Amino acid sequence: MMSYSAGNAEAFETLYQRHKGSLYRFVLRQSGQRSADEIFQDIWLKVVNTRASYQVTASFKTWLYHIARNRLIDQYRRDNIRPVENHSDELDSIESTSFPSPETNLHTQTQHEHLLVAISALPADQKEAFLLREEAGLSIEQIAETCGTNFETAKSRLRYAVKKLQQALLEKTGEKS
Amino acid sequence: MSTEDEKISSLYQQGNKPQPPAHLDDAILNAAKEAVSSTQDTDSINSTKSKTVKGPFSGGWPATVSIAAVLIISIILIPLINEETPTQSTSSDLDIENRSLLEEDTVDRELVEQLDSMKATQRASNVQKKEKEEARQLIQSPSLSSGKAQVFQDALNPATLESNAIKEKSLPMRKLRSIEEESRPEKNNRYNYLLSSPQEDESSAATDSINSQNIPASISALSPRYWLEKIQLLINQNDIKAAKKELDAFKVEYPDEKIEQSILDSIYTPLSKE
Repeated sequence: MMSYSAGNAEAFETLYQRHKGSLYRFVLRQSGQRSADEIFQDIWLKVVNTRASYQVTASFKTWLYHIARNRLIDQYRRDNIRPVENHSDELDSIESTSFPSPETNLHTQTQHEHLLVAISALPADQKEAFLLREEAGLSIEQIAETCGTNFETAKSRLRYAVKKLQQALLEKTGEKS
Repeated sequence: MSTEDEKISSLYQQGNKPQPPAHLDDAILNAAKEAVSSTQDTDSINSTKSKTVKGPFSGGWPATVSIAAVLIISIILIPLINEETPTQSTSSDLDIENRSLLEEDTVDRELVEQLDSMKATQRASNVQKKEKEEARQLIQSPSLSSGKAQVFQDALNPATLESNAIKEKSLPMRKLRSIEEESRPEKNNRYNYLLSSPQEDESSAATDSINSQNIPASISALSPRYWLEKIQLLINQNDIKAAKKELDAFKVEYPDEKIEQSILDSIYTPLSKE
């Protein structure tokens, strides 16, 4: 990022390629397919425009997800809604495009679908903590820093999220069986 | 991370991983490149501007010159100013100064007094010399009586002179005062002599002079003015004979001195009547 601030456009491309997938999924899982593209583009434009004021106080990843989180909160306020809890459109797209549904992967794919549904049903703060860990690969300390909370809060949010997801998967498995 | 966590995490990672659309990638990357290039253009424009438009005060020399000026002022000018303007003294300093001035003044006064006393001594010695000279002349004159001659001899005696000199040396200020008093008619000790009785006046001039200042009367000679005053006093006391005697002596001493007609009349008219 410092290299890009100094005027190296290639450095930005490297950064973008490294973080675009995880960031896109982080936004997608929380906002839905319709507004994800716009939010994703806004986040990166914010990075471009604030490159001059960037200071190495934290890792770039933490800074990037902090911007993403703020943009998502703005979106929630703009839409005057609670964070998305049901990704039906996303699930539709997953069903239509991403599932070749071979026999061998059928069980895993089904479980993954159940997991995504369970994630979308999580409370916003727990979902955020879980996605920051799974998509951005942040540690509990970094999650706490990004979310502006303390370590214990971030840890408990993550623990509750995992418990709820397990519970949701067990419920789905029980229903099937 | 517990095994349940790992299971959930692995299940999440196994699934499909959606990526942003390609057009979004292009838009973002283009925006980033444009931002950088526009910044570089702005920088290059600014740099060319700064190259072409260079004011007289651009560059680093004003700072260097100002530092040099400050150094010059502090090193050269301030000591010069301090030398030219006297330092403002505090009240204690003023006290010390005043004391020193007073001490200097006292010392000066003492010096002036000493100088005055030396001058007075010199004057006295000059007078003495003059008087000695006159006395010698008187002694050599054949008309002088033997008594007076003796008195003059005594006056010229080295022992007497030495004692007088010792007195003068030891008391220069007193001598000075006596000279000053001589110059003042109302405080003159000779005036006291004038106020003395006629019998005393009739005594010899030598005795009088010895009694007064060990100087013969004719030598210690009253000034013409006081002598005439003495004569006038004797006239006033109706001691015409004594007045005439004094007048004769005065004429001998001061032959060219002008005598008031009233004195002459008051002495010679009664005598002619007699």
